[in-house]
Amino acid sequence: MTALIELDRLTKRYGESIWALREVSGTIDGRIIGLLGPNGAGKSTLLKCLLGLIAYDGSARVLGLSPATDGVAIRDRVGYMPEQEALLGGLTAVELCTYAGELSGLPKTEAVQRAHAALYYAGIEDKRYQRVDGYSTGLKQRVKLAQALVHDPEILFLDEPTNGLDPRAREEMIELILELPKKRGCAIVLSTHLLPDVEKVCDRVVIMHQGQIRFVGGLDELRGREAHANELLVEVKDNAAGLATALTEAGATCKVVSPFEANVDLPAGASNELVFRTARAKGFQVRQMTLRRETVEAAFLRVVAAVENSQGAKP
Amino acid sequence: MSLKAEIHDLGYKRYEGTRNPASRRWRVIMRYQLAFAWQTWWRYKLALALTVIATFVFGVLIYVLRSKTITEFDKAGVTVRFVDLMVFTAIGVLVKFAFIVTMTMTAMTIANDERTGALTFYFVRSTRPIDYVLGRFAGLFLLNGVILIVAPLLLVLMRVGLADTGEDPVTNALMIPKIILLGTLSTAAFSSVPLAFSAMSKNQWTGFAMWAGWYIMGGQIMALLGMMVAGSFGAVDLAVATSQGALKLLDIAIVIPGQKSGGDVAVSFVPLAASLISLAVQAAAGLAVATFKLQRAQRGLAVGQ
Repeated sequence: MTALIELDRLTKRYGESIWALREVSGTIDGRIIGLLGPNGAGKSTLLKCLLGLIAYDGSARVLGLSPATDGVAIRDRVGYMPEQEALLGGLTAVELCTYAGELSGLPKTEAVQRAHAALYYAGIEDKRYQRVDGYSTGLKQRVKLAQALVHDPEILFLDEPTNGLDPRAREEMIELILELPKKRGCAIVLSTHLLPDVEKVCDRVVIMHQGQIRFVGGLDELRGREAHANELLVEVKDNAAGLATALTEAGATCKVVSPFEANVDLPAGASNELVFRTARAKGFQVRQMTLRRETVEAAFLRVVAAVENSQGAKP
Repeated sequence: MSLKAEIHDLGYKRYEGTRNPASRRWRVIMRYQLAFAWQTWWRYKLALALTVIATFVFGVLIYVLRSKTITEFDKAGVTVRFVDLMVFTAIGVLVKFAFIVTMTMTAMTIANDERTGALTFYFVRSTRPIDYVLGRFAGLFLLNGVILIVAPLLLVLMRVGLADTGEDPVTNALMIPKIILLGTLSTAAFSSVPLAFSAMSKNQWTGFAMWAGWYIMGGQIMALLGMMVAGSFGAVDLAVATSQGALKLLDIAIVIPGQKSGGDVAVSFVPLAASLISLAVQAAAGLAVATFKLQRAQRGLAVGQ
């Protein structure tokens, strides 16, 4: 089966000295993929290369097609939800989505039908005859999602889809994104700086830094679950500090996170039984105990820092 | 209240049909351009209404005064029929309405699309810069064509229909393709040149001002140079090229009789070839500039930032 994206020594240089992408190689596949990186990491250049908008050196394939020669065909099979507004004023949501469908090659009748379906999917069927100019930020995000979906893409690039949304709208957008692969059968590449969103929706991540891919893999792989099997997050009814003191006396390393939570690093060879025994002996009520996993944010910072440290170590 | 989004599904099925080839995208953009023009009264309807009124008024004048000749010109030894003068004058008026359309529709188009992010909307799809330019141009061509092709053609048809029995029918019939040729070239130039100006700057008002400045001031200067130095300079001005082209193509010889201080002055001062070549070259150059600028804009799209 063809991978979504295959890269082989993909390079993009601006002038002699600026390397936007430096011999990037790898295979990007999955259901919902997070594309992460600090500003200037090369994410936007990579997306432009993949959409066939700019020339590059090396080789790239999107859905088995080369962006260098088949950019138009790729863009027919790919949807893009931009971060900035990128909507046409004076049109209703239905008109806008129909226009988007036709610009992607759908016949007019099909474009109209799919525009209604896409808007219905995005949850704005009751406002689809209103002009998009007057929409709130949340509605605009939904229309942007609908216009990216209307032509039935196989890959959907989402650029900061939850930016500027209130918590409720953000949750709703995340729900929509999560449902897309199941309901529409498309893979998603999510480019965002909001790492908690990545944690919620992505099954794989690509981390870029300084024009190169620094990590490709699953979330668990990124967060190193096996390496942190003895690290727990313990939630108690009250007095987390008291439990932490007791566990420290029993040989664990603890850090109080809140009056009800403490991070506990068990000593070598100990199991979580130690926490239960200590709590029972000292009269603490344990409400919940989970493996403490590194957040995506912490893992991301670790990967980026490792790159910078290795460069700093070079003579 | 649940924070969960309501997921809707209308029985989704993947689209397996054929897609229209990319080479047809310009038609979609053209249709959008026409619908956009029709949305408000001031974008196109105003100029269209003025065109209809002017065509009607000139049509009535042609009908009423169909047998008249201009006596002032008779004195200079040239016979000019009133109907011919009306056609020429009407084209001069219609060009002004076409200029209104360039100001309300064309001169801010591309800069506006760049400012609002609409270019991203177009170019992340299978729409190429050439499709975008052709679509915009075709839409504007149809809109301007009503003013610069259809209206003059109606007047010429009327003039031909009301011809005296003594006139040469072949000469009269040839007026029809001639006016279509001139109208087509003029329409193309009035559609593409302001479009190119709108691509010159990311600020929509800069493109607008550049076009207005070029048309009004640049045109005046070139027209003056045309009258004082060499007629061909005047052809650079789109309005002059169009109206002077009409004089020559329709074979209207207007000579203002000489005053005490000087000789007769020919109103027609721009060579026909210069008018036609200027309109064609400016139309082609406008399209080339707009396409070049959009290809650059496509490479610089704000994608993934």
